[in-house]
Amino acid sequence: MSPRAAWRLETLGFGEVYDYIDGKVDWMAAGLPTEGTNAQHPRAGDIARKDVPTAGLQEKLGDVKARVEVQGWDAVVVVNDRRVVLGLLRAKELAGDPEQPIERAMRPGPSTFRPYVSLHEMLHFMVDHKLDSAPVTTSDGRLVGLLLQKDVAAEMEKK
Amino acid sequence: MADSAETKERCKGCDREIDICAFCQEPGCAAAICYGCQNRELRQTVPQPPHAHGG
Ligand SMILES: [Zn+2]
Ligand SMILES: [Zn+2]
Repeated sequence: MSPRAAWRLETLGFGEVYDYIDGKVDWMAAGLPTEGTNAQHPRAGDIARKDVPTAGLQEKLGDVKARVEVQGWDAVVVVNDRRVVLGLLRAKELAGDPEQPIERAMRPGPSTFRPYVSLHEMLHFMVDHKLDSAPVTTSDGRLVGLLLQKDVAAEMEKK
Repeated sequence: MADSAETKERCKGCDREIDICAFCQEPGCAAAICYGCQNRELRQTVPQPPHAHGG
């Protein structure tokens, strides 16, 4: 289903219709309401930045840093060729020895979050744990996008 | 017994001893939480992140 089709279904009153890569089962598996209460609230997958830069394990940290800095990013998600999240580079990791491979520089196995997670709860967690960004993935670990605390806060302020 | 200097944290949810906060993975997190409590609070199914060891 295209995002547009999902959006149309929602406007037609079908309640929560989620469309993200392979993620439809996540929604059901979570046993979350499929209509009603939360239908108009955006969730992590909706505002996660899909344009977050990614890098492969074998790349050199300095190269990746140079590449993403010009795009204005200080976070990079490390993925394999199937876009499964393997690690994360935040500002701290990006500041490491530029000669080392990403594999050594990255923070491996970061906590990842499902697209249907409520922004309200994510914001709570991100503030409590002083986390600026959190990767959103499908249940099989594939990257959906990077959720930024400032985006979540801005979204919550709209209410 | 190899990781002599490692300090354990306690989950703020269930008080279980954990190696590191599941959410931020920062040692000494003031709001340290285990995977189980994190996923219950966020109402997400338990993820199996690639097992990270060492570091
Ligand atoms: Zn716990
Ligand atoms: Zn924490």
